[in-house]
Amino acid sequence: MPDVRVARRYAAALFNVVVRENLLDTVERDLQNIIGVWGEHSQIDETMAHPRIPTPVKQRILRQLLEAQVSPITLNFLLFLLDKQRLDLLLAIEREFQRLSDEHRKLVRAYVTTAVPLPEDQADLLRQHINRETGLNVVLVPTVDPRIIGGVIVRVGDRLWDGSIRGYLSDLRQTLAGTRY
Amino acid sequence: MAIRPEEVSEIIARELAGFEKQIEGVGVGSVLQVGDGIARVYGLQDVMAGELVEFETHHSGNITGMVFNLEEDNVGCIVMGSVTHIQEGDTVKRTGRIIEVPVGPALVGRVVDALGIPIDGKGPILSDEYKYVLSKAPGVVDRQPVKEPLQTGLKVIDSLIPIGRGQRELVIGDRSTGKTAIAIDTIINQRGQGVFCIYVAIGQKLSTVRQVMKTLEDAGAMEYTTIVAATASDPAPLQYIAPYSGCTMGEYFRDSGQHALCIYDDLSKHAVAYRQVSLLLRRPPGREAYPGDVFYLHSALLERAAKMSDERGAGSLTALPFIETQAGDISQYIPTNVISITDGQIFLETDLFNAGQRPAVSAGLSVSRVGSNAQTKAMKQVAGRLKLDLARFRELAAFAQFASDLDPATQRQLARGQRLVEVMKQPQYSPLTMAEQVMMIYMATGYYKGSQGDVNRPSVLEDLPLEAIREFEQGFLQFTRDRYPDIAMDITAKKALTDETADKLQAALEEFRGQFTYEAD
Repeated sequence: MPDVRVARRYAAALFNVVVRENLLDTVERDLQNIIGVWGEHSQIDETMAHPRIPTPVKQRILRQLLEAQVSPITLNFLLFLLDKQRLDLLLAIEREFQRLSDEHRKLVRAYVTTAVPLPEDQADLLRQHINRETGLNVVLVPTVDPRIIGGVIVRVGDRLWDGSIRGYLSDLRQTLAGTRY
Repeated sequence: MAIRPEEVSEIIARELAGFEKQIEGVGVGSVLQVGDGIARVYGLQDVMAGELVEFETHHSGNITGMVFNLEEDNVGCIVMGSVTHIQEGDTVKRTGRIIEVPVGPALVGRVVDALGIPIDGKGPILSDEYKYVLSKAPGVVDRQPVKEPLQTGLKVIDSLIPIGRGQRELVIGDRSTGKTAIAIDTIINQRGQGVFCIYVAIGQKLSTVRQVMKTLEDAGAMEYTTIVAATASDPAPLQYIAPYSGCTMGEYFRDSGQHALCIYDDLSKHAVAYRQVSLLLRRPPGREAYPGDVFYLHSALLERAAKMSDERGAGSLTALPFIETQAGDISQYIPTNVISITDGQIFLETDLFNAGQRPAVSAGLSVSRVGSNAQTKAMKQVAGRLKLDLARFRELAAFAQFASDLDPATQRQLARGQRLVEVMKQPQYSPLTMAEQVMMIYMATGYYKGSQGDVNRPSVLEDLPLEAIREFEQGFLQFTRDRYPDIAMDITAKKALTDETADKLQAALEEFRGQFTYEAD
């Protein structure tokens, strides 16, 4: 289990520095890119977690990989994490960082799941609705999942609105069977 | 029952027409870590302690969990089902409900799991009424003192350690000393007494549960019994919930002016299951690694047994918790806890059991704190001297082991004690009615408290060899059933032993003694 509390502190530290330096956009993009590349190439993760590879080597690898790609502050942060043996928390840190920067920009992320790609006009409508509910600027994060059959599932923060056919059917099954568990 | 397909479709169509879904926002979180019957969940803001949550798995539908720990950055849940289908990252939904089970007459005769889901293959439980599993015990004004007896049908218990309806009586002993046998005999003896029985099996073998079920079925006792089974193969959270579920089912009868008996077999395994989930959720361990609230775990359960006041319908819920000791040690943590909560204990001893004294109740260490208020007058009349005599016998017996020749008075005392002990034996699955027990005890002691004071007659067993006593007892029981049924009927009707009936009983005893022959070895 990733230690969320530790991740929260690292993220907050990075965030404070970045805001002071006015580099929020750059670092945010950097982190997203790194997470993306990390996910695609599992050998990076394996190398970084490998106990037999000495830290200086890992540092060199990180430098060579990222020096040209990301801002110095991001690279420094990664090297710092490596030094503190907290690189495994990167995913959790990125998530916390994202949360902080969203808060900073008065943004709210709405995760929208539909069975078929959401048409732009409907996405707009959804955006307006959520904006009215929350009073914040809305960024839609769409996912397509045919298993929900139809309708839409919207998740904002810790709240979820299930308007999918799948959810409807499972509620119907519970009602007809009269079971509670 | 004929079912017409078109009727079925019509009913379903009607149900569907009335089914309208309101889309409401629900609190959600995602699984951080899962295993060993517990899950840690990220998110779930505003969730309440004790609330039910639903884990949405990819392949096996929704699995229910219960919020146990609220921490700074995550929520600790116990999972009421198999955790193997839950994956990291799965969505967890709030339900806004707390845990409840179906109650009512529909459960009678059924075998259910800790959530009230039937596991006996006899179809769904048609009960509309659900009740909270973790509810509070009735308050002071809703209760009244225990006043009616709960007959176990066992001579040694009903005479020496009587149990009243609404009492909590602990049954404690080592493994295989006949604890479950007492439970089964007591359930069988409730036939026709208007007492609904709930047998809660916690951490038992499935084969044992099956065996109990079959025994009860054969005795016709399943007609008024519910079995709640959380067996050794069930996850610890279900074992933890099971006794509360059983108690809730019993409370339905208690609160509707009826009587119920709840047997928790056994609470030491319950404590172990609770210790497991507590430790996995990193609650601080205390003595014997049990969490700090293990006393409350059992007191909250057993306090729900009560005799309700007349305004509340005068129903009752009797609790018979079981505790398994290790090598007769009753000073361990859990046994001492439960001893201090209950209104007395029935202590079963391995030595007695192996010596053929069954039920292996230790008369010296067993006690009932409130049951004597509930004992019938007839039983009080004959049992008055029994406890004293047995205590004297134990003292003498210990002393007599060292002495070679004893004076005749001591020998007589010893012989008398041995005969009493012999009469206290009782085979399994043969409970006796109150009247029969009174007769048997009178037969053994020749004593009763009459209207003119104590009556002491020489017992007819005095000149009988020990080996013949069982046979004599059985023979006499049959003899009175055939020839003098009015004696038992009179005791049952008056709930007392009148001088007249006692004389009749003495005459019958002497008559049977005259015709009784035995083969000396």
